[in-house]
Amino acid sequence: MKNKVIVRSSFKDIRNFTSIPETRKGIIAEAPETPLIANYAVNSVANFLHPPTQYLKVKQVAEITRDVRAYILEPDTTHGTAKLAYFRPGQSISITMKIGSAVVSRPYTLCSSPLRSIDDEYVIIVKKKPDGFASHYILNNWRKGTEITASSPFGTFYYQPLRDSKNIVGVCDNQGISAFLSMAEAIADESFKIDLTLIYSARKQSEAIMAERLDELAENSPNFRVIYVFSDEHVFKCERGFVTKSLIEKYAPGSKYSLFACGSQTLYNRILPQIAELKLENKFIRFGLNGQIENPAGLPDFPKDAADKTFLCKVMRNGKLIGTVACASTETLLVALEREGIEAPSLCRSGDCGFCRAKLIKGHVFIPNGIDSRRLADSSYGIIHPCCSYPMSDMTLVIN
Amino acid sequence: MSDNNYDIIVIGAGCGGLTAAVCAAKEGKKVLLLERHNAPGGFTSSFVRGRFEFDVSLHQLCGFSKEAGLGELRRIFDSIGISEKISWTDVPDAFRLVSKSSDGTKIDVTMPFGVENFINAMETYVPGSKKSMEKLFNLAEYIEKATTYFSESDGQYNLREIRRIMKEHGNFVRTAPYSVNEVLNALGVPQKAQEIFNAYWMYLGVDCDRLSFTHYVSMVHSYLKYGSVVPTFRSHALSMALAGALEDHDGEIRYNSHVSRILFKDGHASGVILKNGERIECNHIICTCSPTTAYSKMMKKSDVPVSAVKRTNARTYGARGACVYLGLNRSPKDLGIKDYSVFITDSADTAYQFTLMKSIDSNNAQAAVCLNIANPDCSPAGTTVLCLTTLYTDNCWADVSPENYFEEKDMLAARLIANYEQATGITIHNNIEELEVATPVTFARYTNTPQGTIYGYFGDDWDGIVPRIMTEATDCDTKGLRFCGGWGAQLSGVSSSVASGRNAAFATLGDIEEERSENNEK
Repeated sequence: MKNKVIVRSSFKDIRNFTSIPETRKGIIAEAPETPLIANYAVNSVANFLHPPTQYLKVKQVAEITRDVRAYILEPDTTHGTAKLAYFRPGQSISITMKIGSAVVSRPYTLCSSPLRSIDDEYVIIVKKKPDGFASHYILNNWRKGTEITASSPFGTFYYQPLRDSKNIVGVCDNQGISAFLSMAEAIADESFKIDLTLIYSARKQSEAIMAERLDELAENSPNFRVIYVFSDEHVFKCERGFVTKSLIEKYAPGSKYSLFACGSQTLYNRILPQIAELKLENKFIRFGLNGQIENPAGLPDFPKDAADKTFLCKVMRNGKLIGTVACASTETLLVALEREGIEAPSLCRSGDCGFCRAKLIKGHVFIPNGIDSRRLADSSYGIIHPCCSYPMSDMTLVIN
Repeated sequence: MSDNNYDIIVIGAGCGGLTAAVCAAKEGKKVLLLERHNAPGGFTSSFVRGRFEFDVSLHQLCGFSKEAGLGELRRIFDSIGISEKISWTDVPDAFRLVSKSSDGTKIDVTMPFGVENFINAMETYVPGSKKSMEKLFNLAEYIEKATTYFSESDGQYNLREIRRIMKEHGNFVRTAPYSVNEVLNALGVPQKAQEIFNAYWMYLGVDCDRLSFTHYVSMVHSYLKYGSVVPTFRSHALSMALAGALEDHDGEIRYNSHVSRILFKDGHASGVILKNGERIECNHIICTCSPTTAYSKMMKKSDVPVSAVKRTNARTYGARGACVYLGLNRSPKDLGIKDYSVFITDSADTAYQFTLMKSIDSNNAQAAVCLNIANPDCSPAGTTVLCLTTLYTDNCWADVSPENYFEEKDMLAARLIANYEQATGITIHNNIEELEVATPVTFARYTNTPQGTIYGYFGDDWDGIVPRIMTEATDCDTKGLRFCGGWGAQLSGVSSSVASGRNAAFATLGDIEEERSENNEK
């Protein structure tokens, strides 16, 4: 044969090939019969950091104001959660609740320091929203001992040392305070080494919840300070007005800084043009979760003729029709599903994480500009995120 | 047949499971594919951060030619009708290698696709290598023909069969028992040319003193001969196309469906139980999670044969992976990035480099991929997507405590970025707009592989592709339960997983036929 290749010798090469199966079988035959290990160290670390479900219990309730309470949560060992998952300041947990016939989830940002979770405590703040649903339920029903089902911590609104400046200017209103409170707590207990200047915007001093705690933390830590901006009243040593470009510049450090904003859409709408004027690079601007859009019909890209309409959504799972849900064009599909008691997956409720991923096989939806974080291929295969999709026709939706 | 009863249940919708499910459904079987996550793909997936979409693991596809019928992966995708349903982008060059030769000199070479181009480039870097390289690629061409036959065979090697292979595929037979380095030495390939040729070893995670020559040369040859591609819209487009093909053939996929038990009845697989308690019956199962996991966690101890326990105990795990995904706020041109794929190692001696990768602190190896070089529009104008991947050859991430984990993760990212900058002279650390880090812990979380392994079982000399394929028939000792994907005979990687998925489907179809005729005889 032309180009014959020989490695050791023609005889040895062929013998070595012929003996391949026997060699392998021999090694396996000599292996021990010891029972196989089911738990691996790396997987244990993974499961500790990201348990699929955390079973929690209310340990203590603290009334902050009439409409705001802080809940200290601890692991519910009777349901199998022995330790709380560690997290980064700024991350959230999603809590699933059955309220009447509805099954809903809500993300709450942890406001305690991660170190406190080692001592078996998470803290969340719940504020009663005027037209809220879950927040009313929580304030009316949760007491010491209430059992809670939560996700592991998630979210990307956290300080990333390789991307962000060590100097952070935070901008928030009382809807976004938890993320910064967690950071401030972690700065105070020295588990978090950054400089945080927080600009806290509210109408009145009485609305700036957790201010006492923030002041206390600022007093005891040179790396954290807080500035209050009130639009509706003059308060001694506080700013009057709104968060503007010049106000941010007044308190921002002279060197480079990252701007972290977290709060209501009202806050975002107000500060976006101001932030744009700061001419910061994209990488130095981080936004917290959007949350559900308060007034979708008011968005410039909302289809005008669709307002005030209600559509029917057929819902399928595992190849079967599991319900038909009426859904207004101004509410998300997820909200409509939950109202009907359909257990649909959800986590961030802001269009960001993709956990609610579902397939639209008939009909179409409106997805507001700028909050569509679907994968490219998903968009072309009819996949939507129901938490940020508004019905624009009757439809058939396959959920997981 | 009741509603909750299937011919075949496939566990796991990675590209191996997807392919197995499609191939079985295409033959008219009632197939159910169960996936723990809310999307298909397994490792063949992508994720979004800010204005970037990152591939989780795909660097480039092996064995896919733009021309129909060429390359093993292409042929499989042709057969299930998805080749034309996916938009493909060519990868421009083979690789750049920045390393240190065992003679102490620095290596910094850029190698092109095309066998002839590759040989010529090698000759400029290593004068005098040409003749041996030509010999090597002639052999590779020869082996391609043999392996096509070999990988599609049924894994039963009796003497008569072996004699036949020897006659028709002598060079394949004479080189198949050996490691990459042993054959390269026999062919007289100069040391430095070997070191350059071996650059792709990290794709398989076995050093070239132990890595199967047949396996490695087939992969390299396929890259050089057919070039390589990536799906234009990330690997998720590939997974979605496979999932679409399954539905086209009336197969069913259920997401968020975690299989907790594999049931056996009278020594034959009979169904599964999901985490939510639902029981689904079937006659055959194709499983893509590790046999170790299936035997130790999902099956009753009495259903696991001793031979399976022994085989599992004999094996070790392949490399554990870690990736840093970077969305940069400058264009590749502004940053000075020219290469699609750069392998960076401390040593081009792969066995030595392998030992350096046992611990976090001594590991400076990486495979960097800049997707924009192949696909300029993969991120917004003026930005760059860069992914730095490293491997660990031991369980070093097991010692990290949860409280220190985030810090360790950031340190790993800093290290890989610094290594990239040092090797290429390109500064990127000031331009990070998005950054995500995946460690073995992350892969353990998302894929449930033991120890966060990304390459299945270790392809040791006795457990490489050739021994696995030659003993495939006797490797299946659980009736009605077969395995595929990264834990299969072809080892890991997209092309290998797809091939093993097809093989598992065909083997299961064969099992079904065999059992039917047995029953008829009764």
